[in-house]
Amino acid sequence: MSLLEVKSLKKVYKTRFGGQSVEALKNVNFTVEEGEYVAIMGESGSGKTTLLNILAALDQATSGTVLLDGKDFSKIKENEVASFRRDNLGFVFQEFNLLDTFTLEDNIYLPLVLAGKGYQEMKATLMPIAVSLGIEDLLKKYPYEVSGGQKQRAAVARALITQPRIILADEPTGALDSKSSDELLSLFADVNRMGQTVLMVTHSARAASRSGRVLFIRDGEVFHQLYRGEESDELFYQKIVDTLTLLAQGGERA
Amino acid sequence: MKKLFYPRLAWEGLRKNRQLSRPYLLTCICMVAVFYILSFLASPIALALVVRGASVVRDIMNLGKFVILVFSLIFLYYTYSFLLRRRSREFGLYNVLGMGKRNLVRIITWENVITFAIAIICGLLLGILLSKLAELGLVNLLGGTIDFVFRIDITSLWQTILLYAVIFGLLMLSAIIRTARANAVSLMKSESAGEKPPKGNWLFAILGVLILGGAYYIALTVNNPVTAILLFFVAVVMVILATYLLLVTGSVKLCRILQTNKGYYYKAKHFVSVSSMAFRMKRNGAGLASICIIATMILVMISTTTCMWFGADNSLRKSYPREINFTATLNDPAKLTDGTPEQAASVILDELQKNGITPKNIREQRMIDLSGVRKDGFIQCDYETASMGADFNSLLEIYMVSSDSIETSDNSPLDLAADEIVLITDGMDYPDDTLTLAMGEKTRSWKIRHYERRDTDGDTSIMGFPTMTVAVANLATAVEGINDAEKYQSRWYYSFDTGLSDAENTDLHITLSQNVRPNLNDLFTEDATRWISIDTRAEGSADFYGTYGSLFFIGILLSIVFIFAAVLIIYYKQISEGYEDAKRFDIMQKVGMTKKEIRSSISSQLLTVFALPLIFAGMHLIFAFPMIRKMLALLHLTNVALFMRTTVISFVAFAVFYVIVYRLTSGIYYRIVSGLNQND
Repeated sequence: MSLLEVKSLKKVYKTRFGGQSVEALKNVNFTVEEGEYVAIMGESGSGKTTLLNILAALDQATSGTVLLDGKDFSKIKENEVASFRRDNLGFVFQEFNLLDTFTLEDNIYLPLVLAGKGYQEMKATLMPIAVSLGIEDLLKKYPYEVSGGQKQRAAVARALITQPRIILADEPTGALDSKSSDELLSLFADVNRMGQTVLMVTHSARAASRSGRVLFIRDGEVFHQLYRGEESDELFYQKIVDTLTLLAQGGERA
Repeated sequence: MKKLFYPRLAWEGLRKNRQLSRPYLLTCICMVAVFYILSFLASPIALALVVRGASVVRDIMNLGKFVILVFSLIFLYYTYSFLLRRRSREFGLYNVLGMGKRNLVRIITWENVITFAIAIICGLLLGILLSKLAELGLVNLLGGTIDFVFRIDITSLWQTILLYAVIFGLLMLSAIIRTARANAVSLMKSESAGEKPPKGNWLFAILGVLILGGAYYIALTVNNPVTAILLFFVAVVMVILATYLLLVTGSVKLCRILQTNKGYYYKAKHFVSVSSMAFRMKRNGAGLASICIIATMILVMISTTTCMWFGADNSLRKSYPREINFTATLNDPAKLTDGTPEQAASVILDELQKNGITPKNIREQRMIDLSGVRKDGFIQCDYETASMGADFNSLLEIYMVSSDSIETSDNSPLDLAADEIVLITDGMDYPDDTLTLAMGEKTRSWKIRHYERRDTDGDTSIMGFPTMTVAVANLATAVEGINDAEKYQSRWYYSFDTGLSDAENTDLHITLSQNVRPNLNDLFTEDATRWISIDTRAEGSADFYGTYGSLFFIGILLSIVFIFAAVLIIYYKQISEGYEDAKRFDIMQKVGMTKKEIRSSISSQLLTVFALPLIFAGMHLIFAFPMIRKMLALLHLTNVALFMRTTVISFVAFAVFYVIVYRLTSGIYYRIVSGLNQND
């Protein structure tokens, strides 16, 4: 059984007064296996964000199913959604989404505190993660005191600390400079190598080229997918760029 | 078309920001209206309608005008800077789009001109409309002829326009200076600048507690009215300072302390609340402290003036025990016992008979009154130095009366020897069995034959100090040989009721002054008399009701303005918090908090933050109570139950109103928080 199964997913937005309806997702099908590192690419308006919101259980599909470990998202009760999200999903956002009222340490603890864990236990869980992300000296600082790259590493730590089934990353390098971006992507690669499943939505071919598989979305459908196989980052990058060019030219499936 | 460019831009700016600018305008209008009303009531047109105490009314209304003016300046400055801060992004955008400082200044100028115009026109219209109501209210309170003629006072109109033009000019100037100093980037950023976490300051927190403790200590330990008046303002300043210190830094410090307690802090219930409370308090501490101060002000004002108004009658009776009161203040105490008072009384009675009046409730009193300071083993009585002396806490009032004019509680016979007295104290204990009074160089001692303490809560005193009533066998011999009249005063009181109307009593007063006063002067002799006065309660009541009535009236008017101000601060606070919290709300939801959790966390924070000013105000009020009570005693308002009742009613009414405002404004808050959520 796959870790994540998305079957004929459809999402229709109605304008407020029930006038025109917009089909954000038409018919999306794909699966993610345990331990995979998948990138989803597509232009603005292709339905990427809608897809991610549905996968994050922040939004509900009009039709179709999403299964995580065989559990259907649409069957989760309203009041269990938050704790389901907390226990199974880790998030990394473009804008970091750290609360400025907390130190980095407290930001990372947030999901655990919500789950009712004690301080000693949280601290024991945090330390190895903080060391591997290189933020152990920054824990007592506030978000406004550290750089963007450091903030994003803290956000990754927050995503990892619950040991989620899957990490959902939304343009994680979007707000970072190229050096910080490279560091973060290496971090994702390392995390993935240790067995963590990662699903990343991105614009950047450079970011996508570090993944194991790339899904291309256009007009609300999975238009194409590329497997890395044994290829190097550079070669895979070239293939992704070629596919994007093809997409941009409106070409048919390769 | 081009000419109207700036006014149009300014108008659009106000319109687009109506969520902020509308309440501001409303407040301006309200202040203008109240100022005009007070101005109108102080004008000769309105005063002509009032029969009682017109001059007092004028003075008090003028005082009220002054308060409103100062408050307008401070408060409008405060709210206008808030508005400007919110709008600086818009100005920054104009700046980036190529508008120079000069153009921005023109927009700001126009905005102020428009605001001023609206405030003045609407404010004056409202003021004129309501001034009739106010006039009816005042005339009703103070007595006078009610009519339904609509009056407008032109002088008041001009005065209002002029003074508010100055205020708006100052506001505009401050805005222009502020804009001139800022640059485009800082204007754009000023709202989103990364916020440093607040650091609670030990020093300020402790200082706040100490100052508040000090103020409360003063309020509780003051034991006489004169000191209370002197220290009241000191205590008020201390309380204001302490409130700001405690709410701004003390509360942050408290959150920080809670955060170091890991077991407490890392609980789902406290985690988010405590840390964001620290931030909330840093930004809102000053606003909350202002709300608290204003609330306390309103409560003190309303409860005191209400108490004054309802206690006026009591107070009047205390000051004028009967409808007609004769007082002869004498230099020579011998005149009290040589039969002169009896002759004087018959002169008065004769004159009354001639006028066909039968006096009722006749009260005749002879006494020697002294002020004293309690020393070791004796009491220093020195009328001048004692009453001027700085140490009010040891001052006593001593009333020496003849033994046949009092009764002891056990009706024991009072045939006193010359060296014996009966002593009755009020508000103090006297444990010794002799009483020694030092008057100048001389001293007198008596054995205390009978002692009792009768607490009347200030009823026996005139100045509000503890009193000693000393009954002696013979008044004149008690102070014999002490000729210096500066050390004591000998008084003869003769008072009675006539059962006539106020107007008739006033006429009678004139008759008595003309026909009786010369005779009394002759009887008591020029040399032995300091002065003889005739007071009627009818005339006293004009002053009393004039004073208390217009204070009551102004208390209500000012409270309305202050309530407006408090509501506006609350409203702005909710809006600014809403914008700040919207983003946080969103993040927390993404991280795995349910909407319900977030809502309940935020509403518990809002509630805590909101309850604080009310709790503090209530606390201040409780501690101010004994102090204000002492001051009211000086006005012969000794009805503690009445004051307690007006205070409790004021507090409850205010609390209900406060909760309603909280409910309404938190609706706006939630709309902002969830509104931004959808746009995301």
